[in-house]
Formats: sequence, structure tokens, C-alpha cells
Amino acid sequence: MPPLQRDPPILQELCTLLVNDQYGELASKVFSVLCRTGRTTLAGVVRASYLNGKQIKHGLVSLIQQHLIFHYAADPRVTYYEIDWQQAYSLLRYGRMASMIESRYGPKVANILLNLVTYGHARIEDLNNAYFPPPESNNGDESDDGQVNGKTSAKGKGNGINGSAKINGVNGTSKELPDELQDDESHVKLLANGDAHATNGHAHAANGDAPPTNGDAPLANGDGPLANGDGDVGGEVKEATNAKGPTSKGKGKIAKGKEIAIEVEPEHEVSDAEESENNIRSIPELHDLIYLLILNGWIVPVQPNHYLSPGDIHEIALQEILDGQHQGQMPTGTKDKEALVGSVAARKRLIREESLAMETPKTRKRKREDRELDRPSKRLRIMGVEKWSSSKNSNYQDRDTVPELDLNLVVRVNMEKLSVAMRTEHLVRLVERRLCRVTARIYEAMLWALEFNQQRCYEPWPEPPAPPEPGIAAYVDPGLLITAKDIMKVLPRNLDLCEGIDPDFIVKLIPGHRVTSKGFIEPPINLYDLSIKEKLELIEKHIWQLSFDPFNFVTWHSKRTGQCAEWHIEYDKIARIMIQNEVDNTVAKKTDVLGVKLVRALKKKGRCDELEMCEAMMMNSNDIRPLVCDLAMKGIVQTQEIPKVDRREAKLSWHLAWFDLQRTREKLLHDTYKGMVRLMQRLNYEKERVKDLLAKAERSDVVGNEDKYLSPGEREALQKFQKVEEALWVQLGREDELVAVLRDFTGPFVSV
Amino acid sequence: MPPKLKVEEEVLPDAEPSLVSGTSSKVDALYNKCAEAPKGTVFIQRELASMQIAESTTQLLTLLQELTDRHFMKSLEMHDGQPCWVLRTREEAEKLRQMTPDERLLYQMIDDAQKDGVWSKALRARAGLTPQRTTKVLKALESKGLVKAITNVKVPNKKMYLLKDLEPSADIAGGPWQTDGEYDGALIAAVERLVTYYVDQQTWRDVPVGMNRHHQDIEDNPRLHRVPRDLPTQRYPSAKSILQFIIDGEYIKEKKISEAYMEELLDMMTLDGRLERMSATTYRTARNPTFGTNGFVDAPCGTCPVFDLCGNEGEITARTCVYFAEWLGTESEYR
Ligand code: SF4
Repeated sequence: MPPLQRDPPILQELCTLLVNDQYGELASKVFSVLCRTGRTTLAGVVRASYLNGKQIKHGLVSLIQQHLIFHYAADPRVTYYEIDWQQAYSLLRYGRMASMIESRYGPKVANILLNLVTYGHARIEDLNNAYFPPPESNNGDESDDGQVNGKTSAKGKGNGINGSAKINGVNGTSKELPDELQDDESHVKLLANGDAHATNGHAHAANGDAPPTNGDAPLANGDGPLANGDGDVGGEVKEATNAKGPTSKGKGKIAKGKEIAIEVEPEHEVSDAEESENNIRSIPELHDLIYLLILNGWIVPVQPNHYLSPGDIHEIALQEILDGQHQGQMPTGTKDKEALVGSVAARKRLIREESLAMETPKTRKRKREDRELDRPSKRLRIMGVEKWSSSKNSNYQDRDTVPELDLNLVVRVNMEKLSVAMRTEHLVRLVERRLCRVTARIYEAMLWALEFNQQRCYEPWPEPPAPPEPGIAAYVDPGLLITAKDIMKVLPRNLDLCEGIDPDFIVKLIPGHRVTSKGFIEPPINLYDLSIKEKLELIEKHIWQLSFDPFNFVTWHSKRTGQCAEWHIEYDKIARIMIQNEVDNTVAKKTDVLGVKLVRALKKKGRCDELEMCEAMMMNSNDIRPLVCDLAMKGIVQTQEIPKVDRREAKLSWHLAWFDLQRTREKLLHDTYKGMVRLMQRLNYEKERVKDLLAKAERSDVVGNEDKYLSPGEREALQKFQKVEEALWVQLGREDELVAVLRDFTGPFVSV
Repeated sequence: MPPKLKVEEEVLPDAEPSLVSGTSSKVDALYNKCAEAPKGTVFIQRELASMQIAESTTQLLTLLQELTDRHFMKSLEMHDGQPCWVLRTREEAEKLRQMTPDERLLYQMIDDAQKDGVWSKALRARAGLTPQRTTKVLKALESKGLVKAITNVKVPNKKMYLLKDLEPSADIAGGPWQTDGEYDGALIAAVERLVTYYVDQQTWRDVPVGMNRHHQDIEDNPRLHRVPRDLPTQRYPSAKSILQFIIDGEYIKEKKISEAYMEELLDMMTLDGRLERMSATTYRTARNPTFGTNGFVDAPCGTCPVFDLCGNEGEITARTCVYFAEWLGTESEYR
């Protein structure tokens, strides 16, 4: 069964390819050294590679800035470096993240996020400066604004880095770098330029779009360009613009081009009105939107803790608990050990919550000049503005105030939140398939509203499960309850709530209509005439349909007299169903329906011998035997042979088969990573095949004048390549969706 | 540790007397509502929730616990571990309440075994009672009309105990689905088709897309889509109603199918996704019975026959891959 294991562990390979694609060769070389060595010191990296010290330091700094590696110095003299796999893999998801933000909060907010992604993390003051350059160095307010908002053409691409990005003293983030790397910053400039080439290749490959993080400079020199107050501000502003361009493209690739119309704008002419609509116009507005993202958990403050690997955090928490409660000794009794697991988990949660905690920003009264500051759009309201009143940041509810963020606050994006949004998307798609489009919209509204109180999909360090007590329902966080009334406010008013419901139910509910023989409602119900009560009943009907679906999309929680029923969503259970569903889909494609039938029979019955399988599937053993063999070969079911006598003889043995969801989940995840590696490899091969052409198309004199310098044949080849590239990226994005289902929505199951 | 959800209202306005005296209360209301369903109906939690009697899940569970403690309900587990409940009649409950602890213990073991019955020796061993005591208790249960003793045809000297109103399960030596020890594929397929047809009809309704729009100008054949019928889950098709449909239509002449065998077939049909379980006993067809796809299996590698042989270098790689070449319409490296 085990596949030929001559490949290095597959996730490492995939991440190295991704780092290479985004940050160029140097970063990926250092990255792959760390892959090979695992957790190690600077000296360890030097020993394991042929790069020189300067290069290595530089590579490490860039990787740290992008949060791709953890570092930790228990002893201040020795710093350990370790790869953050989750974050490295997440490189693939930045484009998706932008599109999700865009669909929830609009393009302005997506733009902020993209800037943050480009820089890894940033100080609020630096973001201020990036959007609104200080007046003394500002040459042309409006155009700069436009660029930073990503709505003008990306013509300045690549120039940004030669701005005199002096690292000035107020560099708020460099303290997060270990001391041994501090000296690297002076060398950064040079390398940044070197790197630029590697990544630029990508840019032109896709139609003059800037590559994902064409902004090598910010990556390379810590927060150089952001922090430079005295340099060429125009240059740095263009950096931001570039970041917008490419990632929009990335999104196009990854999100299959749907909904991209809005933000793949940098290349297009945008009308003035639209441009100003989508531009951030003032610092208060900027802070308002940043704070919106913070409240919703999309961006989080950066704390030194974020540079600790899970292993280190575990050690720290463990040590603290041991010192505090067990006099530094490992407890011996079983009970004490169990208690220890619980308190370590609690301690880790505490460390995390502390590191994410942020003081509620000061607010000030809305002044006259803030008038242009938008009231939150309807979309925004869906996302929780309504709920702000109930959250601890209640003063924000008061729309007459604006938050004033601490200028030294450093923030980064929170990839865990993206998993939450991806789960929402996946669930909505499932409902569309299993029930109906309108029901799916209602479900989406519920999920979006509930996202507000969810930082992550599941708790990686849960309380040890308490034995279930009969008669007591599991506790549900009140923030995760929702009613039909909550979502009625945010549903578009023209959504036809009647769609997807049995018309007989509707005419019973709303008198004066009948159902025609063809199934039409006669006369049609005018949505705007419905009473609130009728609307609520219709919405609840949809919710009940969600609840009664075998996937159990929502769960009834309670109903106080005279009020709407409260619902919650059992995410963990659904996550499990989603995984099983993807396993079924995969098996169905790899074998056929009979394969799925066998898998489900085994899942239901547990370990089965041949006779039991025949009974469950109502098929004869001759038909089942080859099926079992096939699925066992593919690693989907497990088999076992138990001799009945003391000789090993096939006829005198039991042949058992079983299915283990966790094992199959891991196998499928591994295969998916491998599929993604092959896609990346193929992409690199395709690039290599048109290498010369790409180099030519990238030349600065050719860009924009393709018609003049490229022959028709060349243009055609270029176009063809772009199609191929697009197809490969789309596929990568779709495989990434599968990875999310398999890996990110719920923790490992306990194997049977 | 999250605090246990507090139920603000007093949980139960003293339920005990109400069950006896018959004054209305939530416990009574739940019991009566469940009693409307046919005898022996198995309820899952969301069905009970949808009866809109309890005010919260916690309260619902408290009510159920109350009913179970007082033997008005029996709590069970479905095959997937989901809890479910079956109603007992008031008489049954009364009898159970009057049992001695030993009697109740044995009764519950017999009840758990359902159609398979339990061997008296096994009962004794599991209950840890003396033979004399066991016999006495079983006699008492028999005289109360709760269980019955049967003899196993194969092992006549083994005494089996079974609930009074159950028929012993037939020896699974065939049943209607097998002929000469082989599964009769043709018959199974025929019944499957009937089942699918019937259940589909009963659970989904084809209505025009946009049924609530003005449609003067809509052509005679509007695009249809399926919406779930407005039915309580208990009224969805079950083995019983499906069987009735097949018997009434006289579709299957050569074999007699019993409800238990029908259940077996329905259970099997849930495996390949054609049927979906709506409650413990009822089914619907899947709205879309085909399987979906995902990013992995759509790509060449997902269904590649040499997936395990393909490496970073060597003869089979992404560079030399014939499947990629075909999929992308480009050329691969010559190996
Ligand atoms: S790259 Fe080609 S040969 Fe290799 S696994 Fe994928 S499809 Fe198969």
C-alpha cells in the first residue's frame, strides 16, 4: 500500500515551490535549507548550505518579515529558527483572502489587506504614510492617492524599490528580529534589487500584471519602504499599487475568475466617480476600516508571541504550569496527568488570547471634516456592525465617533480567519447543491453574521472533553446563536423568499393566492407587501429545511415565547460530514459508485468480513472481492488477514476490511499536496519552455508596446502560455479548497 | 470552562404530578405530541425540537430525561451514535415503574436485544444473579405480559427471551433478495427503481423556477427545479409506506417482501447516496444523486494510473507527463 517514498515530504516541497514563486530564489533556498534541517540555529543553517552568511541572514529576515518562520531564543545567545508551515502554505491563499474581503467589505478594505499582505506586517503609522504621504514629501496628492488605492495603472511597477529607503529610527517592527539579524538591514537594498528580477518574471507572464509581491523591497528590507519618511514617497506608494495588481490577478486565478470584475481594475480605465468611490479618502476612514478588520478578526496585532512555534509555546506553557502547580516536577498519577493536559491547553489559550488582545482604541467625536466618512454600507452591516453593540467594543457602536488607532500598533493578517470564510463558502455551495439557491443565500447570511464571533474554525487546544451529562445540552456561546430576525435585516429585499419552498406551504401561510397546475403562485406574491411576520415565517421555513437536511446544516437551540427561534451551527459535526463527502467524491471518481458504497458500508458497520460486506451491500462476494482489493491498493480502505488455524492459509483465514476516516483523510490530503506539487512543477516547466519569449516580453521597452515589438507568432505563443498558466493556477486554487476541507475545518479525529 | 447554559425560566413546573393527574404541562404536551405518531416511532432530537414545545435544547433534554426516568420513553442510539427516543404506552410505563430493580435490569437487556432475543444463560451471566433468582424474575416478567420465552429451532434446549410483542427474526438464510444463496441482482434492481420512483415523488416537488413571478409570457414548459415537499419528517416514506406502494401496485409477484427486508434494502440504498435518511425510519431521495467533484480528482494527477510512480525526477515526472500534455494542449518533454 505505501506509495514509493522516494520524494521528500510533500508539504515541504510544495511550500518551497510557493516561496520560490512568490519571493524568488534566495528566499526559497534558505527556506529549503530550513526544511531539510528542521529547527535550527543560524550557525546550523550556515553549515547546511553553501550560501554565504550575508545571504542567509538576508533570507531569514525576509522570511521572518513574512512570518514564514518562527524564531525563539530560550537562551538569549542562541536563537532557533523553524518553519511556520501553515503560513508558508498560506502564500497560496492571499489572493483568495483579498476576494473574500472584497465580497464582504468592498474594495477599499480589500486594498488595505493586500498592502498588509505585501509587507507581512506593518505599523499603523506606516500604513498612514503609505496611503497619505506626509505633506513635505508629497508631490501630487491626488495621483498618489489613486495609486495607493490601486486604481491606476501599474506602470510604476518595479521602480519603488529604488526609492532611498533609509531605515529610520522609528522602525517599529525591527525589534521583532533577533539581534543576530539586525545588522542585515543595511545590506538589504542590494539584495532587494537582485531579487526583483526573479519575481518579475512572473509579472509579465501574466499580461503585464505585477507578480504577487512584486514588492520585493518591502519583503527584503524589513519595513524599509514603509518606514521611510524622507525618501521618494512616490516610489513607495507605487509599491502598494503593485501589490494590488498582482494579487487581484492571483485571485482571478484562484477564485476561478468569478466576481473578479470589481477589483482587477489596475489595468482598466476607471471612471472618476468610481475611483473616488473606491478610494480611501482620509486617515480616519483608513483607521475606521482597519479597525473593522481588527474587530472581525481578519487582522490581528503582532506580538512577540507570534514568532514562537507551536512546539515552543507548548514548552513554555508546560513549564509555567509545572513550575506553578507541580513544583517543577512532572506529575505521576493518571489523574494529575490528565489535569495537566487540561491546564496546559488552557494556558496556551491564555497566551494566545493575550497576544491577540488589543486595547480598545481611543475614539474621538466625529468632526465636520469626517463627514465624508461613510456610514457602513449594507454589506458591512451584515458583517457584524449590528453586533458591535453586543461586543465588548461597544463604544464603537456609536457612529458619531471614529477610532484613533495607536500609531505604533503593528498588525498582520490572520490566516485562520480565512479558513472560517472558506468554510462558509464551501457550506453555501453544498446547500446550493443539496437544497436551493435562495436557501443557500439565507444560510450564507447566517454564516456571515456568525463569522463575526469566530476567529478560527476550531479550538486546537480544547478543554479535555467532559463526560456528557444527560439532560444538559452542550453549551453554546451566545455569540454563536442567530435568529431569523437577525438575518432578515441583512437579506436583500428583493430576494424571493418563496423560491425553494413548497408552494402549498406558501399559499397556506399567505391567504389570497393559489397554486396553478403548472406550479406557479397565482397571483404572484409581492415581496414588498409581506408582513414582517410572514417574512420571518418564510425564512424560518428555509432554516427548518436546512435543519432537516441529513447534513444537519443548522441546529435548533431555543425559542423564548413570543420571540424568534435561536439557531446554532454544529461546525465540528458538519466539518466531519464535509470530509466524508469529499472522500466519497474522490472515491466515486477514482473507482465508481460501488466504491463509495463499500466505503460507506464499512464506515457504518466497522470492521467487516466478506460475508458481512455482502450483506450490507446486498451483493455477491465475487463482485465485492475485486472492489476491496482495488480500494485497499488505493489506500482508501484497510485490510487485514487473521488466520483461523495456526497455519497461514488464505482459505482458512478471516479477511477483514475497514475504513478509517482519519487515515483516509490524511492519505487524501497527502495526495492532494502531491497533485499541487505536480501542478507547480508543470507550471515551471511550461515557463521554462517559453523562457526566452517571457524575457523579451518583460523588457521595459516591450511592456506596453507588445504589438510593436512582438511578432504575431510570439504574441500567440504568449497568449497560449497565459492560458496554460491560468488553467494551472485555477486548478491549484481548487485543490486548495479541498485542502481546506480536509485540513482546516476541524482537528484530527481519534482513529478507531 | 464554559459555564453551563443557564435556563432562566424554572425548568419544569413540577412535572411529576401532572403525568399522573393529566394536567397539562410541557412534559405532557411532549408526550401527547409524540403519541400522535404511529406506535413504535423513533424520534431524533431535531424532530422533537421541531414540535416547538420546549423553549431550549436544554429544556428539551430535561423533558426527555424526565420522560425516560419515568419510563414513558426509552432512549436508544442510532447506528451513527445519534441518540433517539421511542415512546412507551402509559400502561407499559406503569408496569415498568412497578418492577423491582432486578426485573427492570433483565427487562432492559431483553429490550436491547430486540428481535434477536437473549439466551437465558447470557442474561444470568450479565446480570450477575443466581440461577434461581433469574428464573424467578423472568417468570414474573412473563406473567406481567412483558416478555415471552421461545425456543430456538436450531438449539432446542436453549431458552431465548424476547419482548412480548416481537416476532423472532427469521434466520437470515436468504429472504426475498437471494435465490440459491446468491443475491438476485435483477430483482434488487427492479425494487430499487420502484423505491426511487416512489420516494422521489413523495419527497420532492417539481416547481417552475421563479414560480412567484408574473408569468404571462412564460412559455408552456418552464424550467423546473425541485423543492422539498412540505411534510413533517415522520410522514416521509418509510419501509412500511414504500412496501405498501409496492404491494398495492402488484409490481413484484414472484416474491413476498416483508417490512424487515424492505428496511434492509433501504438501508443499503443509503450507502450509495440514492436515499438519504431523514429520521430514524423515514427517507428521501437525494436532490442530486450524482457525486460532486473536487480540485484533486479533476486534475490529471487525481485519476492518474501512475500517480505513485511519478516523481520529481526519473522517467515519469510532471515534465514528461502525457496526461498534462493532453489536458493543457501543450507538449511534454520527450523521455
Ligand atoms: S504529473 Fe502526470 S504522470 Fe505524474 S501523477 Fe500527474 S498525471 Fe500522473
